[in-house]
Amino acid sequence: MTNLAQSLIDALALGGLYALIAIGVTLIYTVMGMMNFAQGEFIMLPAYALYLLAGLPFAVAVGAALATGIGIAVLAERVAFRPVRNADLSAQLVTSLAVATILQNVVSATVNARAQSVATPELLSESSQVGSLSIPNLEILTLALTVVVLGGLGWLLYRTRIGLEMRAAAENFEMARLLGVRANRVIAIAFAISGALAGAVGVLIVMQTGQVSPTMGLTPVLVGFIAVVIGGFGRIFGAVVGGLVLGALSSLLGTYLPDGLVPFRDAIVFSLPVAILIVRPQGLLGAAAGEARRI
Amino acid sequence: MLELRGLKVAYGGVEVLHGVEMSLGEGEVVGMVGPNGAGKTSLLRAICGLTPSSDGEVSFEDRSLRGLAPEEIARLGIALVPEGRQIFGTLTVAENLRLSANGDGGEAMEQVLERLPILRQRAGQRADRLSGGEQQQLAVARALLRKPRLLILDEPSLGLAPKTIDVVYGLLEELRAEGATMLLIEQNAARTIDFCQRSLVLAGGKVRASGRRDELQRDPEVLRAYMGRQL
Amino acid sequence: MKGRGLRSPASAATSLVVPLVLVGLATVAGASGTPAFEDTVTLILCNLIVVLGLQVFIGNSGVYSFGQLGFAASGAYAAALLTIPATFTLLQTPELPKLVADAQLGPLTSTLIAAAVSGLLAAVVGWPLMRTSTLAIPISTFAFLIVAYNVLANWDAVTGGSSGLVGIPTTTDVETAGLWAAVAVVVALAFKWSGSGYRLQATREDEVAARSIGIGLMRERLIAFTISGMLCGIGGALAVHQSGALSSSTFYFAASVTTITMLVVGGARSVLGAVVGTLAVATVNELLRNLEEGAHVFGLFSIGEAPGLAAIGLGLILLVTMVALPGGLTGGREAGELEPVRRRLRSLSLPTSPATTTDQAKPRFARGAAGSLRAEGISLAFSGLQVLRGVELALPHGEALGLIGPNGAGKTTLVNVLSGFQAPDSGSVFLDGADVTGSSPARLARAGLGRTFQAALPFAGLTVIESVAVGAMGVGVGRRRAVETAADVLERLGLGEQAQSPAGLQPPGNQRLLGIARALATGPRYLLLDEPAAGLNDEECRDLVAILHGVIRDFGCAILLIEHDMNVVMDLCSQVQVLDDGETVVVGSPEEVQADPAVVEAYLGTSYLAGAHA
Repeated sequence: MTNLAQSLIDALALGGLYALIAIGVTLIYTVMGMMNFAQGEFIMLPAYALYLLAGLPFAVAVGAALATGIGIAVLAERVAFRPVRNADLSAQLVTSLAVATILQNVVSATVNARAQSVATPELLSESSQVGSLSIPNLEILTLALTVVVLGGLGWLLYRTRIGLEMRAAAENFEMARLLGVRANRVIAIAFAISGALAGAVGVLIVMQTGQVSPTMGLTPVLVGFIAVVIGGFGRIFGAVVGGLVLGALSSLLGTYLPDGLVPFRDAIVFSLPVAILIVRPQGLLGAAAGEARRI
Repeated sequence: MLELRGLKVAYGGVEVLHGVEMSLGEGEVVGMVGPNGAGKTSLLRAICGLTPSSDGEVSFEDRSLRGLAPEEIARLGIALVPEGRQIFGTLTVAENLRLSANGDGGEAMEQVLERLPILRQRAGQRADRLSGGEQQQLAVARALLRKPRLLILDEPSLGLAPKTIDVVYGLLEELRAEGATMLLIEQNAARTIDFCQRSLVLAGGKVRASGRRDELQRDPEVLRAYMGRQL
Repeated sequence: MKGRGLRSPASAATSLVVPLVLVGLATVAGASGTPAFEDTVTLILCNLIVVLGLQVFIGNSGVYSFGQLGFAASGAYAAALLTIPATFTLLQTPELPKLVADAQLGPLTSTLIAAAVSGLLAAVVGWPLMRTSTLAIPISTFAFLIVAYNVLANWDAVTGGSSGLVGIPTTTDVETAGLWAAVAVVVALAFKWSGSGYRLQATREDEVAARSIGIGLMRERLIAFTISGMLCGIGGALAVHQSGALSSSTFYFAASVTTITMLVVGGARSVLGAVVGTLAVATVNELLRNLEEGAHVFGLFSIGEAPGLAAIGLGLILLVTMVALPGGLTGGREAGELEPVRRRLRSLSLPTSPATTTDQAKPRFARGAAGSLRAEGISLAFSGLQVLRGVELALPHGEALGLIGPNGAGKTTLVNVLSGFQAPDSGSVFLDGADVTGSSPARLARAGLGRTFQAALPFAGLTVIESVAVGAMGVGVGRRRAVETAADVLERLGLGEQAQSPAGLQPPGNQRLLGIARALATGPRYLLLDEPAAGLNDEECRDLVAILHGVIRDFGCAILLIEHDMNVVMDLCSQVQVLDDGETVVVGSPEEVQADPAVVEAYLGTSYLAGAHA
């Protein structure tokens, strides 16, 4: 019983992490209709900031990591994504692939191509005792962050002026501008939020694995993509559901899969969503009504 | 108020506007008609800053619009009711209006809702659930909330039922009576020329004729080549 | 240039010969260089085969697949395991079936088997993947790549796991690779110009319009996906016989990025683009690697210890291409379609009399005897909003029925139901007496039901004649016959002169006509037109009515017309049905309907009665 509860909490925490990744992917998809391959690098670079600033107080390093995430996301939007804003989905996807390749290899070339280890602060590597369960503090932090981000984003999008402008610019960029909305700025803000989110995810992943590598963003971005696909394109809440499903699946398979099949866990985790898509091509919650690109 | 001098626009090396001249004074209601592919949409996009002009000058209240972003032009007081309405379908009617109101809305919002009561009834609905006529009213309302000094309407009757067109033109009639400055672009030449004090005929990327209804009617070339039987 | 073919023979020949010459030149250069250079060129040619494989799927469907390298991997493993000497095989992969382990085939046989294995795998994997949505395919294929990698890297007993395979016979020389690359060029072009290729390109340009002319989206995608998988398998097999060693990471993410970059830089939509892009990117890549690693030259498929410079260069090239040159170096055109070549060909070609065809192609109109399109009790609600309430409709063969009513009355929704784009909640649709309720749009199109949309939905990337011919191909007409049909239809609509120009560059009025032409090319017995006159001026409206009268008269085709322009409705239709709020208000002759008080109230408005119209 305790074991089951323990693994459920683990599953929920991994699901929370995946949900955070998926929210970042969805946010960019929503405002600009782009599946952003470079989201993995928006996660990787802040992780490296953490690694490079290991000597500084942890809070400062985390702040720098978030700033890195914001900075790189805004920069990438300005330099690479804005020029292809009106291109089709495929062209945007390939552009983001180019950005991902560049960022990944800049890190390989300038820092190191191999994985480097990073120390985690003790508080986060310890566990808290809740009843008979011992829950890692990191998992508590992840879950808390997921809830806060989901709530915060909902508030931003549906209760504030900038959120209204964001949704309008997402639906019809030109028309929003014709109504005086400074749409470029609005989209840059969405990227900044997504970058901050990616930075937070980068920090969480480093805390969990204790290392950084130039390719560390690849699996998260795939996870984010698949979560978005199974949750239904363009729905923030769908991304959360998709992330939770995927994380829980991955975590539970890790615990309960027979030994011989454990190496194939990723293969199974990434095959099942496709099965979901065959049964429900629009994802679990269905794509946002009408056309896909909506909140 | 609005001056176009020798405006040229080209897409990918192909020039579609070959030096358009026009001017529009405060309180004037000017129509623009012309056949398919005459360059009406290109002209509008150039005025609003959506398409860069390759040559010539657009100025609004003696201020050059060259190099200004669409949102900056909009903030100078030009509001567009675009072809196909282009309301934000995923937003509610109220959200569509709030977005345009830029801040409080307050009194202007009250006035607009008074003028178009149907929008008050529908405030909480998603805008794509409105009928075509209601959407057109929303598009006009949205433009009015910008308190525009110049209102541009692109094909306001396109795709609307005859009765709904009457409703939309009724609204334009009220605005005209209140002294609004309007540029009205329509395929439906007869109605436009009737409605406007003065109309321009745009064809092949140039202004071919301009004048009041009776003047245009007397121009046999205009009659035959561009308008068909509509006049 | 006016012509009855999809392209002139000279243009077609140029499009075929130029990429073949490029492949030939690369092969000759490789054969006459140092052994190291020859190895490099050989691998580039293997790469080219994979890129051509990508072109077949990505270029024609417009949908990116990140999984095709998985099929290169399957081809490579199949070829390797079938050719490694038996004793050596068992040492590396103890659990391999004896038949495979013992096999020690020649290079040609193993390459062919590799193609078959990869093609089969692509068909099996593609069957579910192609069922996912257009948005999801890049992601689900990416997931497939990771799954394939995961399996190859961990299935030690069969694939050698992460340590990979060695001792593979190195049988691929530069001539072999060049020959296979030439074969791949021919296959890719042949597919692009086949009926299936055109149908797939139509889905790339507009999915909805493609369905309306009978094209089965998943089927066409799966065909291309399978052919693409076969080509990738060949490329993988040849590459592994060049290097002699194989590991699970050879055909993984980095190779995916490299090959996609090659395709995109050259221009994904053309076979020439695949060839030019591969050669250009490979050249730059080699130069960068030389800079990075001193004098050494490595093959493309290997991932260096420190990718650094070359990979950054690759990323930058890709980025600059996407931002500045979205069509790639070739603009997505084949050699015969490039502007300088076209001009040259035009000046060379003598004025030819139009090809005289023996069977003076009457399109396949009026196949069946008289019948009707009927709807009974159609009801439909969208999330609680009742759009149609038990609508009845009858469109007898050879008649024109006008469908009018206020915006939001449900007219377009009714047409969507009739044409299979929307299943009704209740009620039935009968086509010549057969119940076709819930049939797919593609099936209905093949059964003789054509339609247009409020938006023109042009196949912008095809030429005018291609975009119409594909309508006939969509319902299964052979290519040759389809082209003749298209030429006839274009002639009738007065678009004959435009045949060879890009559909996307036509003015809006012509694009609307093209939508009608495309529907006509499917040989419909029932044609549903959704506001065809919107945006046309009076003169254009009169032309349109004349054309539509001709369609009814000459082909016995029935027309259902949604239209707000009452002049057009009155001029064309013998019966008019008025819809309001999802219900039929009245059906009758134009005169009756115009005089009906309910219609004036709901739709026409009193100013109409006052004589506002001419």
